[in-house]
Amino acid sequence: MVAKVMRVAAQLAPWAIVGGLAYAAAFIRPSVEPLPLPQPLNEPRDLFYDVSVSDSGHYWFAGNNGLVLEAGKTLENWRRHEMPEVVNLQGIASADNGTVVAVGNAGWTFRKHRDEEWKSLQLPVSEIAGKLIKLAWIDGHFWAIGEMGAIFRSDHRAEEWEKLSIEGDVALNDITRAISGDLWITAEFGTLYHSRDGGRSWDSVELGQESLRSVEFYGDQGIIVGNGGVIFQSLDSGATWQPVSSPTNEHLYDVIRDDGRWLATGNGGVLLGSEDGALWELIQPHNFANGYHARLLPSGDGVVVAGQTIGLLSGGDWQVWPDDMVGDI
Amino acid sequence: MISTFARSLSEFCIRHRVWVSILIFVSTLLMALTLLKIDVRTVFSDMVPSNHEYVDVHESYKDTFGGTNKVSILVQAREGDILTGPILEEVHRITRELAKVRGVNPFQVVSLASRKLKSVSASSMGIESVPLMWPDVPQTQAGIESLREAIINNPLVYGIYVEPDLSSTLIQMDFYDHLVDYSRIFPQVQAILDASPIADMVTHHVVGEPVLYGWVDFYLDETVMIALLSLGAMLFALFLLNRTWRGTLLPLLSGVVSTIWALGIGVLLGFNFDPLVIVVAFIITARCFSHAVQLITRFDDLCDGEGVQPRKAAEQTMKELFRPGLLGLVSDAGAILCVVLTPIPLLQKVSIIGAIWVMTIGFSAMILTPVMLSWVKAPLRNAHPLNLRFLLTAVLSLAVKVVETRARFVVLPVTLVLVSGLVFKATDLTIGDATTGSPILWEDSDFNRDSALINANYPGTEQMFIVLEGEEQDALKRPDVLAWMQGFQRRMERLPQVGGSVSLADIVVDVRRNLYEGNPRYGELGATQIENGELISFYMQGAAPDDLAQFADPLFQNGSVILFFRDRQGETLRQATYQIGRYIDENPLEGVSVRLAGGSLGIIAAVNEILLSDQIEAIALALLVVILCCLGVYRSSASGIFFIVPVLISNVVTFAFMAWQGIGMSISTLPVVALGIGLGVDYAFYIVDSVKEYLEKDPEADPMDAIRQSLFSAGRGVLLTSVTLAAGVLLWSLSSLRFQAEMGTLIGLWLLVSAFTSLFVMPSLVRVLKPKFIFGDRPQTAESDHRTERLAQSTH
Repeated sequence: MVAKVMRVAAQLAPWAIVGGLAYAAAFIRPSVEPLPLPQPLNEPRDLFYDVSVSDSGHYWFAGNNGLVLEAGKTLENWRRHEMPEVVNLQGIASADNGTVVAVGNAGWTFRKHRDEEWKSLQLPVSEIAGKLIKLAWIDGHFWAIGEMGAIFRSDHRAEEWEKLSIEGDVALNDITRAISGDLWITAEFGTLYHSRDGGRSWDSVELGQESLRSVEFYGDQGIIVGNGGVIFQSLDSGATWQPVSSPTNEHLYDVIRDDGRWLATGNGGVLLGSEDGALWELIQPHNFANGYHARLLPSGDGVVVAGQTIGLLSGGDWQVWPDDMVGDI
Repeated sequence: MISTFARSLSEFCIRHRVWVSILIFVSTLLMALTLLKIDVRTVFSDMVPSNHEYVDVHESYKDTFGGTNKVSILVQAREGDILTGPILEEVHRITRELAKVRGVNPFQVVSLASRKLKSVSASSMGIESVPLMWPDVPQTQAGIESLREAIINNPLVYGIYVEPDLSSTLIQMDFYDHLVDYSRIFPQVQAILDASPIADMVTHHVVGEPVLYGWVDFYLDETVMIALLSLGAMLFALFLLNRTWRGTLLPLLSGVVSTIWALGIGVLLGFNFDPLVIVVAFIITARCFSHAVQLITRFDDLCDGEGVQPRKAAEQTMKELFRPGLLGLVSDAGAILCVVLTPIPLLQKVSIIGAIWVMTIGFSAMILTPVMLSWVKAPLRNAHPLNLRFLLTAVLSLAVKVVETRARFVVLPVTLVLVSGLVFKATDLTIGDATTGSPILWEDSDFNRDSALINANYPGTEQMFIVLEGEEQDALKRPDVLAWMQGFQRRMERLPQVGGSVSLADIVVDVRRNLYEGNPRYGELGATQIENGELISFYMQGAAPDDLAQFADPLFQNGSVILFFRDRQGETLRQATYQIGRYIDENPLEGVSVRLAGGSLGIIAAVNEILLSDQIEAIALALLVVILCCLGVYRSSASGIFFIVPVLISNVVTFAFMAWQGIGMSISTLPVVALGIGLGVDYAFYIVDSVKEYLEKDPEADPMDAIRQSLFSAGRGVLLTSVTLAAGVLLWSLSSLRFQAEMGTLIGLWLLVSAFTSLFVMPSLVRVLKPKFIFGDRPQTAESDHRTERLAQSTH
């Protein structure tokens, strides 16, 4: 009986092998272990336009596609926040009470108070050009400015906004407060706005044709930078402005006072420094990124930079975040 | 019936040996004349599978979205950056000269010095689009600084055509597919680079499919030299071990005749010969040698051992070995012919030529060798005094001892255990390329080093594109479609092997940024289809009509997203196509269908997708051929399982070896594996059939005597051919082409595994299982079993 079974099995075995292989050929396909591809902390296509620091010591970078990158002290404390509306975020600021607000295209604002969720609110801006370009925390208020002369002011909760807009088709780029308490706004095509009454009324002055991107005061001295590398200086709290020779033709997007000197940055990896605001020279930190940089933020360890890349400028060194982070911030 | 035919054929051939010889030699001479027109070259289209979705996409859009024959040249400054007068002049010179290379599409030569790369800026007149460095190189430092700014501010140039630290730049070129001749492109490009007047200031690095196959062609002389050396080594080994001129020259004669016929028929059929499949030719020649050696060995046995006259011995040899020989050839030819079902032209050509080649062995070895042997006058004269046969005898004695003793009962379980372990290892086999560089060349080859350098500093040398096909014109201008492209690019760039991507969305974003004074805050898509259309129109002002050709058709109905990969490994491509499919499923686009995938990697992904099933299908069909042959000859399907054993063992060992050595299963390894099946089964046929032949002659004979005789006769031929051929193929490991070296090793391994399986496993199986197709219905008497046992014990 066993012999008979073995004989039958031997007769069938070759066909079974061929049949098995035929089945395999028909149905077996190279398998792939799918990578989950989780959202990384940052992506090569992430671009940033502003940075702020909150009372917790965290840095908040606002970027494209509704991205806010929160940078904690260590890499484990970094978080990627994606806003409910996928719009480019242009500005971000923090209030004294820990509220962080980001503003962006189409009048969108996003606020977050400490561990609460992000809440969104769309401000009444022009449908044609409604980009909110800059957000600043000045004297207990959030100030949001943008295209079509948009100016909005809110308290620290950022829930209700007061419209203080300037009439006209003009894009407002930066707002700051001088030591006198006056407000200054740089705008496109060389326009500079000035308010002595907390933003209720605005005077304007034309400083050439190039768009003015940023303004900053230190005592009585004020510096404005703009497109084509233009630099203006005021030594009388903004009463008069004089053009200053610039070592670059690249657009300059931000200027700050840091550690006893002026710093300005802009397109093409350009970084300018000046001790007195009158004589500017190019600074070339080691490995400084060639792309644009939109915002400089003085910090205890150096200058935090937001742009095509983000990182820390410390002395002559440039540290790309988060890739080059060593230890804590 | 086969025996009757074999007897009639052998009698006829020996009786008319002069005419048979003349007929074979004259026809060989005529065939040799056709070889003057032999075409040795690689044709990329031969490797493109038909009837595959990816290939359809590629064929539909390759002329605009990207072909398979791109060449990238990296010009790297030895010190500092490339923005110096002499280096920019060098880029200009190379760009100009490349336009003269044979088959190049002059409109697809892209570099800083070409018209294609532009500086886009806004002015009061709209968008101004000016070539970065065309027609002239900047002559002043201010001009160079302007160029530097323009490069840095153009995201479609910076990081893609110029390294972020500005230390190198890429020049890319594409070819008209129908004009591509790899053997000419490579030396012409190399000559342009060699003529550099500033070789002390820059280094050049070249990659791309035409360059890769140019290297293969470059090494053709070396390949032929190694083939000849290998052949010489095999003949020398045969001469050393056989000790006769006939044992050396007749296999050579068979091989030469067979080769001429096969190549001649190939020329008549209009086939080209790819240098990469020269190993296939080598395997078939090895088969030819093997058959000839079997015939000569049997002839020597008859003359030497049984004192038969040469003419009669030749006739008897032909008659006795006709059945296993024919069985082997038909199985070989059938196995390789199964590959014709693979929808890849190269493999179909290899399959047809391979089958023809194998069948020619029927004339060149099975007929010509006995005919030539019939003229031998002094069969016992040795050509040299060195007798190394004791080495063969020692191995064969060991094989006999395994069968004689109880060790034969251990053979099957041990084999099963070993094979199981190897099956486990074989499951690691990679489908597609298993290495980051090209598997055709060594890792430290110039090509692979250049490839690694470019992939480290640029998005990637390998490209794949997907196509978005809209239902309406201007579909690509829709914000949701452009946003889909951006989202898709972001997702795909999360894959570690994807270095970057470009699409129409990138251009729209960049134009919008430029329109707003270059302000990065405005680097975003337009809010409406009309706005995006206007942005594209701005870009096209002053641009050449084909400037957007690689991203969209003229009606903006169909467009592409081009992905750059850092390698083409099988796993990378499977992961990529999976992730692409997943993104498409998760993000459906209304009115637009998304199809993958074109470009060189699209084609390779297509090949990889069909490779495994085709490989298994080829093995299944080859085994079916073996079983059908066994059924026809032995009238027993059970005999099939017997002969499948060595085939499966060889297959498993080879696949395990490939997995261990990181050799991926590719278009080039498939015919080698299919031919290997023939190798595996031939030896078993000779040994088992010899046992059967012995028992047919003397039905009362002790089975052990039949096995012993088989091992010392057919087994000697098996051992002789496998050892000499393996020694020959090992020389391939010296090849500058990694693929040739690995295939040489693979074939050598296959030969040895097949031979040792036939010598050490098959005889034990025969004796233990006593298959009916060998032993017939003869009763296994206790006496005969007892005698066998005694014999076995006496060997202890």
